Amino acid sequence: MMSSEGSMIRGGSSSPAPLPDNDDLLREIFLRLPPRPSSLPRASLVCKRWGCLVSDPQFLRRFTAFHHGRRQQQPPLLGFFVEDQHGYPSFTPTLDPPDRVPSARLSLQAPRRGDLCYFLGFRHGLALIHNKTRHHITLWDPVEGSRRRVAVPQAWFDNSDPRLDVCNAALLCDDGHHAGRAPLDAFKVVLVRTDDVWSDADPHAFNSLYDSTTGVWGDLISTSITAPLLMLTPSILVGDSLCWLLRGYGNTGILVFDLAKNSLAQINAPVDDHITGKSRLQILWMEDSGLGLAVLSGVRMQLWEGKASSEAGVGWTLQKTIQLNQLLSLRSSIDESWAMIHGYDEDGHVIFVSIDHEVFTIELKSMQFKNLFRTNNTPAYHPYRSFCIRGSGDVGADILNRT
Amino acid sequence: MASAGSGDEKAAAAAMITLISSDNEKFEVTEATATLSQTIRHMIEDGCTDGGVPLPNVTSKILARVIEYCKKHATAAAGEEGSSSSFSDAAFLEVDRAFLEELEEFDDAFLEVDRATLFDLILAANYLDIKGLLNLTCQKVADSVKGKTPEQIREMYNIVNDLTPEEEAEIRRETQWAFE
Repeated sequence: MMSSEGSMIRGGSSSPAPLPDNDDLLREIFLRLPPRPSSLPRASLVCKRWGCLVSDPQFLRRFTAFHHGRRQQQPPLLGFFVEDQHGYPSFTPTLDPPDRVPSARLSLQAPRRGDLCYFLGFRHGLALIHNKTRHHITLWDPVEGSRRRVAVPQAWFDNSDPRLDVCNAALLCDDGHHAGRAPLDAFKVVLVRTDDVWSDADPHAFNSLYDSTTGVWGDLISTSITAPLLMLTPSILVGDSLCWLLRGYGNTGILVFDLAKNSLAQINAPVDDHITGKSRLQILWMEDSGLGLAVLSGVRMQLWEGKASSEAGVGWTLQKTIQLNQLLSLRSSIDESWAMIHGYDEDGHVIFVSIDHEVFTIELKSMQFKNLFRTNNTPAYHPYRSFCIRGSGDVGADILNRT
Repeated sequence: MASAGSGDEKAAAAAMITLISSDNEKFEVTEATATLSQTIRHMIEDGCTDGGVPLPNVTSKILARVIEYCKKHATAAAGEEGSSSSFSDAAFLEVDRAFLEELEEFDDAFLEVDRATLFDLILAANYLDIKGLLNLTCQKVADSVKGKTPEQIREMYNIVNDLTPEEEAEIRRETQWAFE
């Protein structure tokens, strides 16, 4: 009820006071809903106006920026993606209801007649997919359903020759997307290929950096390597450097691309009696020291931290040894030899491991863990964090083959 | 502070501003209190506050509450400035912490109002551009719908469901997981 002299005086009435009739103020309220996946879908069912406001991509970006800005918090870990049989990202939730986003809501469906694709990983909420058939890289945002495509530079990467084709890639976004900008506005892509470490006399790794703001691929740079680069193991961002694990033929190392210096180099991994050919390795991002390495040998997990020394190498110190059977209270009859590292969440320092087919997440800072499920598969997990999921609307199937 | 450049900060701090509500009630406040509102800060900067600042969108009842909020938080802001520039010892931090707790208690008590008043405070915070008050009041509304079903939210805020049964079924199908 409005009075004549003021717009905000309401008479005492029994019906509840209506919310301000102002989209900006409704947005201010919706921004402050808890940053959990179920928040916005629930709001979208109240009425048309609410549904429109909370599904708007610009609002979703503001929602992300708002919650990121508050105490610099990380989005919740919703689950992880694995590569499906078509090379597309397929989602598995790890949160409990009502925030358990179903697989179909976030997975990218392969078209009926699909191209040959490889899912190369996630960073800053964006998936990186290499379409080998059409020789391009697609960036895909599962929340907005948007994507960007970049042609692979033919001069440096040749999809007709496996030795000259893209072997691994990494994505980088400037931090601006947290400020409410579209994440696909400004990004960098690094493509890597390597010589055949087994047969070449002096094998090298090569990379080129693409900057979306200039639309230019940088010159190919290279360095000698002593072990192969794994295709499906994603890079870890440590400070200004992208790090990949090199492993095979009895050698282990880390390929480091320093973005600030635009330099590529192989650095040494730690040497220890407990690190054998059967050990599983995972590069980590340690808040204090930068580079880290997890070594899983049976149920023993070592956490190493690396410090750059003056001698061009890295000095490694053993920071912690964790007996996973004790931490996870595993029964004594488990098969200790079946121990895997499936993936690592560089934003939250969370590692995904499986012991005797039981998959766990372990927060390496707090050592809190969660038993997720049993699995017989051993794929690479790409952890996925997000503050929000759009209330409704399609996620954009078939986008990789659309032109 | 808006007029800190004048060189006479004491005078500026003590300067009084008259705010005039929609029902023509006058409120005398210090400039430090008034300038928590960006809208009033700009008016002061533009030198158009002589004879009082008319606020035709804010009733005396709401303006009194807004001023209560600004007074408390202006004191807090002054305390923070002092602590960051010249005090850093543990004893002072302890005082700081106690003051922040007191401020939180004040905010909680301040929000103990009926919904109509809460919404009027949101409108006033928006009009007067008082970020802290807008944050506080909008957060209160957001918290009130947390964990509620769409039916409960509609009932709470008298919202008409204008989705057709088909649209509702479609959204429900897509977001069923969020209600489990």
